[in-house]
Amino acid sequence: MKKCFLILMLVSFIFAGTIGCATSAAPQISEVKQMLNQAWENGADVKASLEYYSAKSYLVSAEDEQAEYDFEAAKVFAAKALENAKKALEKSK
Amino acid sequence: MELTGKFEEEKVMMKNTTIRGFTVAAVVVAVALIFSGCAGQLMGQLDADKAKFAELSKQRNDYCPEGDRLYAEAQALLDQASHEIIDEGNEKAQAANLLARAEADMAAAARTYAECKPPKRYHAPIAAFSMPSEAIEGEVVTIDGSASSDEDNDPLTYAWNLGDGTVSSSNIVKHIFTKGTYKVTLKVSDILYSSEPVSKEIVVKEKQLEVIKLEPLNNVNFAYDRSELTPEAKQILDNNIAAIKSHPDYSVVVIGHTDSRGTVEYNLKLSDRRAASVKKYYVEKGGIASSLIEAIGKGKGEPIASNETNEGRAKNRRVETELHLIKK
Repeated sequence: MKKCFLILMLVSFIFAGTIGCATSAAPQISEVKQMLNQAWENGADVKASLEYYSAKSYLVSAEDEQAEYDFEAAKVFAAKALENAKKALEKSK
Repeated sequence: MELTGKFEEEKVMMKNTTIRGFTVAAVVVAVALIFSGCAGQLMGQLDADKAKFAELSKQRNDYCPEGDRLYAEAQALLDQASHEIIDEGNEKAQAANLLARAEADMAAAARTYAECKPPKRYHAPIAAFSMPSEAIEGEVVTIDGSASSDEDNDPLTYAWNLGDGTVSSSNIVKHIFTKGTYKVTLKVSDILYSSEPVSKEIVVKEKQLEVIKLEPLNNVNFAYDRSELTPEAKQILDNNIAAIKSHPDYSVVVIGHTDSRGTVEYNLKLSDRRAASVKKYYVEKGGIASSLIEAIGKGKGEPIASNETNEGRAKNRRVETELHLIKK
């Protein structure tokens, strides 16, 4: 019984270590999505196509990494997406 | 005997374990070598793709959203592949897949950018203007840039350099040059582009006047300190009116003079009044357009006789009428 408990603890530690104490990039991804919707309504896909599609592409990368529980990488890509989404929004106003 | 047998058995077991250990180690080393070879290969591919992307960025333009979509996707895929290869050394298959997709996007983006034509609103305007090639100094020269055009009908802004240090932003410029040769240049711009500059030369010649002096009013025509016309004066001016009318291309200049008595300021005013009085007569009696006549008072500065005698001073109190024609 005691052995089982120890194994369980060990597995938990390994799992936590693998995922890290990192938190999900979901809030950033959600923010980018909202911003991109607004940018699209402003016509950013034509007026600021490079920034708009850069944001969209990095968003896909962020979602990929998020799905693989690589939250740090997801956050890096989400930050790039956010930066481009802001530019697209500004340029398409 | 039994002990010897057991010893031999353990020896064989140890030997087998050692062999197994070596085998496992060899396999691990081989796998590691294979993977590191793969990783090196992927790294090389990543570098090559980054170089391709740098080339593609030179081909990018501002009017091709579909090209931008592929371009941006390739960039993100390359970044993601770079992350997999460098940060996550164990994601080889995924990295290879990302690189393959990035390469396909880059190839498609290159094709798309090449096929994209600039939209109509990106035409540059064309500058054009009219201007005389010769002028006389002091003459107002009209330089007209209204013939400039833009295929997209965008509003134009004008940038003139008149060659004498003058710049302007009007579509039509009126300017007086001094004697010399000037290169006038116009450049027009719409919201995005500027035209090629267009230049023309103008040669400005020295002003040459043909002057006809009509009969002046003098000694008998003005009393001391007065500007009213005497009957004799009117008789002379009537003759002058006939002469003015027979020279319709000429402008009229009426110049008043005084004798030396009084201050400079006083005499300037008096000569002004006398010239104005003659001009008024020409306009009212002769029906000559006021705009054709310039009346100037010169005071006591240009005497034609001595101011020491009554006779001389009377001669100096005079009004001259000149007909001017600018020769081209």
